[in-house]
Amino acid sequence: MPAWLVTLGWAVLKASLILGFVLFNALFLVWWERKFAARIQSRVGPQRTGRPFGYLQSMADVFKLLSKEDVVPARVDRWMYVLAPIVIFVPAVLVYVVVPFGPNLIVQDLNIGILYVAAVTSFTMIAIVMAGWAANNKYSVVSAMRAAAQLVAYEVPLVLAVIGPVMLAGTLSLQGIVRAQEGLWYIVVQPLGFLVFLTAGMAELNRAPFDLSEAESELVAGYNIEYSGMRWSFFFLAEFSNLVAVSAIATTLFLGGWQAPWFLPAAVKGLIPPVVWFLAKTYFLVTVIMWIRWTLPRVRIDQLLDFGWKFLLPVSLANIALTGLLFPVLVRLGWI
Amino acid sequence: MEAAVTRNRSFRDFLIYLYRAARAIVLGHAVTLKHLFRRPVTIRYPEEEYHATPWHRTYPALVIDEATRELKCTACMSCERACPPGIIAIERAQGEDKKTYPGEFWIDMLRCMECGICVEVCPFDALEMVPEYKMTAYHPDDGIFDKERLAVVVRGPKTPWPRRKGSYLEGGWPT
Ligand code: SF4
Ligand code: SF4
Repeated sequence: MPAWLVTLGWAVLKASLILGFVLFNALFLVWWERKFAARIQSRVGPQRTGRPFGYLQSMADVFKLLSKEDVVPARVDRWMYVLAPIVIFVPAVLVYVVVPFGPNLIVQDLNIGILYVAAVTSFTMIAIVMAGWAANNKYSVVSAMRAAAQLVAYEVPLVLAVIGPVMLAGTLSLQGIVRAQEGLWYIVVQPLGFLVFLTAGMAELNRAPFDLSEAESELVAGYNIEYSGMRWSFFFLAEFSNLVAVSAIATTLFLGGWQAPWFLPAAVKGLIPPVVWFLAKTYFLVTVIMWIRWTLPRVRIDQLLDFGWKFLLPVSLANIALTGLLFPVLVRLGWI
Repeated sequence: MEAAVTRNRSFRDFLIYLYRAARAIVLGHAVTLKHLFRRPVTIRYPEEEYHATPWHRTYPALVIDEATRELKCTACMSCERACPPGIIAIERAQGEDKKTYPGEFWIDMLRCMECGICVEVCPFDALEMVPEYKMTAYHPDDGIFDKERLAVVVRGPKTPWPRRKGSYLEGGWPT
């Protein structure tokens, strides 16, 4: 076989694996979030579609979405309207290129991995503004404007929070950062960075309590208001894909990625494969984010921007300074 | 003015504010976590039954006098006039002793709003709200209850509302 064919084969295989992972995630997490939210509210959640526990609920949703009419309202900006769902979905999948699922389970270990993540996820904002503008609807424009303000405000602390682990590991490659956490997870030395990352990450995801751009009670639905059927479900897929991506990146940076907990003896560590550790930590973080969503009420737009610029940004800067100051101490202690 | 004052907080005020916010967030999550491990309150209706209390008021029904085994209603038409949506229809009939009784008595349960006004106006206590709640029907016509469907024996005086113990969630009422 010629070399280019092998490369092509691998590329297609990896791409389909990642797409499969994203789709499976969406199916599973829709069901999981419904069940989780229901239990928090003392309900039972889906139970009749697929007994027990309504495990077929997401499949029913898929068929509902597929069978819906694809409405393109009159007077929309057609090109942008059609492109926006694709523009939002592609970066949501592209992030997974650098996510290390295991020691050898990574699509491409870029040496600027974390920079790549920050760059790719910024595309989401363009897609949201496209969708909001193209739909020719007041609510969606308001929503897109809010999303833009929010994403700009939270992108900065997010990236600054990432700098902590990067400083400690001395590399931008995600695989390198995971390997550097062999002895100690960075959440122990970077608790502030972890909290800032999680908060800013949730704001990036447009998830409650920062779901201002899809505030149903204020804006009907948000930037995806005019979309229906499959086009709408692309937004939905991207949202859940981003949710997993943020959790996966947080796991990689702060929770040791695919590494087993450092305090376990070596014999126990060998029992569970790394990819299981990685997925378990990721889904744990996903659940924590859901828990936060179903606990806290939505913030106002001025509170949101205040919080981003006046609190998270100084805190993340202080975190970098602290990391720099404590770095020699940590090295002396042999923690990193 | 007020807003300006809060904006120029001292650093100490800011720290207090921060502490309160953090405390509220942590407590909120503790509450939701507690609820997560509670038993859901949902009653899965066809499989599980809701045990309505005897004083549960669902829809108006015709009371049967336990002594004479006859309807208490005298077809005075007060309820028909009082019903806000006007969905009670009565056909007055007369027995040999000149006493009037309802020959036919219909209530359109599909439009009844269960306000209980008919019960209030009835001068003979011939109507009563009953705890029965299974009113589903396969045909709209079955939603119009006739005299037979409406006639029930209302048992004894109702006990007062119990305070806390023995709610329907904790095992249900005696039926
Ligand atoms: S409960 Fe109200 S609506 Fe229903 S029959 Fe009586 S008066 Fe009419
Ligand atoms: S008010 Fe009472 S007695 Fe009069 S018709 Fe109605 S149910 Fe019968």
